[in-house]
Order: sequence, then C-alpha cells, then structure tokens
Amino acid sequence: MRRYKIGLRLWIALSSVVGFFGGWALLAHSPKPAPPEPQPAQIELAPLPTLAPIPSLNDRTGGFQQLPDLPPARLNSSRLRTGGS
Amino acid sequence: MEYLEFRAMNSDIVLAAEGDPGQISHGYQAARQLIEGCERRFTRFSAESELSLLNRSAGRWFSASAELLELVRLSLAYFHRTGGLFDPSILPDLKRAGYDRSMDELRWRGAGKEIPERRVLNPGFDTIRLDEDAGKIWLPSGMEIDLGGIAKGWIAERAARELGRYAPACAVNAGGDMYLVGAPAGQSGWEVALEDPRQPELALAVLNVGPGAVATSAITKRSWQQGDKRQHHLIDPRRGEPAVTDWLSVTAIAPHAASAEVFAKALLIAGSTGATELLAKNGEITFIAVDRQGKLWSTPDIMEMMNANDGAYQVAI
Repeated sequence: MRRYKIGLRLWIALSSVVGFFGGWALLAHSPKPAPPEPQPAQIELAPLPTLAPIPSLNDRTGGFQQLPDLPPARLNSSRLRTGGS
Repeated sequence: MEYLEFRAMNSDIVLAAEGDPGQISHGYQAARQLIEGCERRFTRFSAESELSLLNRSAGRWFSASAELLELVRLSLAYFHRTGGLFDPSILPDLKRAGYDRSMDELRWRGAGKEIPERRVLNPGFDTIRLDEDAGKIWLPSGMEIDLGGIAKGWIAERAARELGRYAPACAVNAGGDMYLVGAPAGQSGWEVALEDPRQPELALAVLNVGPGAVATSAITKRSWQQGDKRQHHLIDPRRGEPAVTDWLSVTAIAPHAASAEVFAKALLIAGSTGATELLAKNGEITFIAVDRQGKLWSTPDIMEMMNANDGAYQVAI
C-alpha cells in the first residue's frame, strides 16, 4: 500500500512537471498573432472653438473699453440725434 | 430728404424719408396715425388706455390686443435676459420717486415735495401669466406695469416699417429711440449724432448706422426735483429707487428697437461694474456709454468698425 502511494505521488509530480513544460514549449512555438496595422483615423474632429482671452483680474471693464477722447462738435441741423428722452 | 416733426409719447418725433414726395406724404400720414394710435393704447397717463385697463385688472385675466400681448411677451423675455434689470413692474417705485404724471406735466408743475418712505414690494414681474392662445394676460394683485421705453421703441420700429412701404429709405426717431430702414441715396448708412448728456447741444460722436435700431437711455433727460433729492426716471429694480450709476447715458445698437431700448436701459442701470456680467450673458450687444467725465466706452465691435473722421466717429453695423 505504501509503495502504491509513493508511486501515485511520483506519477502526479512527474506528469505535472511534464505537462507544464510541454505546454510551455507548445505555446512558445505556436504562431504569433500579427500586430494590428495602423488604421487611418475615421473620426473627424470638430474644430476647437476659439476661446476669448482670459480677462485680467484687474480689468474691471471686461467686454468694453474706453475710446480715445475727441473734441465734441456742435450739433448741426441733424434731426437724427440720440441722447435719451 | 424730407422731414416731418411733431410731438407724441412725451417726445419729439422726427420722421425722415427719401423718395417720391407724394408717396412720402402718404407714408407720413400712415406712420403718424400708427404712432398716435399706439400712444393712446399704451400710455399709463390715460385712465382709458389699454395699459391702464390691464393694470386695473390685476388679479384676474385680462383680454388683451395682439399688440399688447406681444409687448408684454417681449418684456417678459427681456426681463429674463437682463437678469431683472429691465423690469416693467417698477411702476409703483417710479410713482414713489415722483414720476406720477406725464413728464411734460412734471416739468411744468414739479413733483410732490414729500418722498414716501415705504416701498411696496410686488411679487416679481416673472409671476405674470400669459395665455397666448386665448390672448389673455394675468397680473398678480397689486402689480402695475409701465411699458414706456420698450413700447416707444417698438412703436418707432412699427412706424418706420409702415413708412418703409412708401419710401425705400426712411427713419423714425422717437425722442432718441430710432429705427432706420435702408440708407439715404449714395450713403452706406444714416448719420446719427450722439448727444453729450452733459451738454445736449454738443455731439460727442456721429455714428454711421445701417438699417436697424438705435436707442439711448440717459439719467440726465427725464429728471426732476423731489424735495431735496434730484430724481430721474431709470429705476433700479433691485433697490426700487432711481439708479445710482457711473454712466450718464448708454446708446445701444441692435437689429430691433425693443432690444436696443432694453439693453440701453439695463446697461445704464448696471453701470461699468455690472455691464461685464450683462455682456457675458448677451454677447451680441453693441453699445457706447458716456461717463460722468464725458469719456466714451464701447464694445470692441464698435472699435473695429470705427474711423476717426473730421472729429467724429463713424460706426457701421
């Protein structure tokens, strides 16, 4: 009985080792998968929006600016004048 | 160019047109009838006007004309777009500041000397309800609205479009709120003089404006003495009192008169500190402001289109 047990253990150990190395050798010699070929991009990227410049923290005027001074002119006979009502 | 001048809506009205004199005469008649008819309907100074009837029916549904419905709908849209800086429901505050009669009468007789202390808060203009299918408006109890400025611009545009049926190039100027159709022969636009709010007899700039609308709001024109306070008609809805602003006038240029009128007013109330936020939400606004030192401020799009020319700015839109 004891011999039988030793024999069984040896057989399991040997078959495990042989199976492991056999599988290694099989995989090592099997054909490698071909690397994927580079494909041209299919997605057309939308153009990035043009971002407005970030206003300075010190710039309180933001979306408007001061115009250079010009001497006021006397209003002529223009009837299309605006100044509030 | 032929002109017709008359007084309506407590403003000097100027009609200008170029073309066949006979046709222009018919156009003037039609435009004037339209202006005077609309004034009767939308003035708050007549108890019989449609606007007064609407104000008196607050708390219940009111059957409105298509025109009044459109004006109230526009007002509601601009109330939201300006974050409440344009608010027609400030009428009780306007009356409290002394503007409880027409400007002509106020200038003649003056305001009451006492300033009422209590401010009556209304529930907010955005609480009004519209039933467009039934043509009805519902104002909450106690709310009164004044369509003054937006109605004037809207009327000017309608009158100009009516006049435009008779003359290819025409303009209607209603006390500085104007709508321009076409352009005078040989010119790219209309020359519009921008008054100096400190000295109205002087022009700070001349704008060359294409078809569309121009409107100016100023705190210097409709102003009066109430007790020891100098009051003006531009109420800041946030405070319920005449706006305290570093700008004296704002001129806005837009495709439609209602838009120009509303943003001129909202920008003036916002002043230089609040204008940035308003512009961030409404990037299409084009304006020129005049501050207390007489300096001009404008959106960059105006700058790109301007050339100094004989001491005047030329602006094309």
